[in-house]
Amino acid sequence: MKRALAVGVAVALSLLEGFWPQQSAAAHWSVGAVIVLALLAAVLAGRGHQRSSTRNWARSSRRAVSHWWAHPIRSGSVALWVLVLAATAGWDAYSFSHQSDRLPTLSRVIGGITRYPLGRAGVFALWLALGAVIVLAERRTDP
Amino acid sequence: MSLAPLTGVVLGDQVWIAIAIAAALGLAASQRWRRITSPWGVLRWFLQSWAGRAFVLVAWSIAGWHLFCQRP
Repeated sequence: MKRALAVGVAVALSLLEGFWPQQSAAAHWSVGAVIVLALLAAVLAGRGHQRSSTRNWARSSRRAVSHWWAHPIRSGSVALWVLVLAATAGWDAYSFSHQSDRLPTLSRVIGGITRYPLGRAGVFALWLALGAVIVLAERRTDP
Repeated sequence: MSLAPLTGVVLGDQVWIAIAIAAALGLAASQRWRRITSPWGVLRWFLQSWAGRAFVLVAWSIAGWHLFCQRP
């Protein structure tokens, strides 16, 4: 029931965001409000429910990198994702620095979708869903 | 060789398409073979600690603000 209500609110908010004029104050305020609420929710939901301390997380990550050969497939696939992310960030920065019609930035490519109300609503819904995962996922459930 | 005169797809679009295909292939492989780390696995790793979660949350906030408020 709670989940259905949350999904309903998210769909309604996405449709509102999609059909508000992109440069309107309401469209901007709603995005700002979602960001503030997400940050607050992450702090409230996270108190005492984070799986690992930052120090232990950094230590275990360092150990995993230095012993990469122990899990070659996992290490190789993580390296692939790092490469894809680096290519995305690098090409975006290169395109931005040139400001050319032949080199669209990633936000300009996505802008081809968000210029239409339904496209904007859909991308906003995806952004909301990703935010919910970032706030709520990987929580320790025991007290 | 540029395909722009025929298709309207410029050089930058071709690079974005190549990156998207690489990501889609990686995603498909991670679904087929569970030993391959998926993007969700990478995200879950970030979410294990406060520092990682804060980093991802800030990136998500900036991306949202840029896409929905700054992009003309």
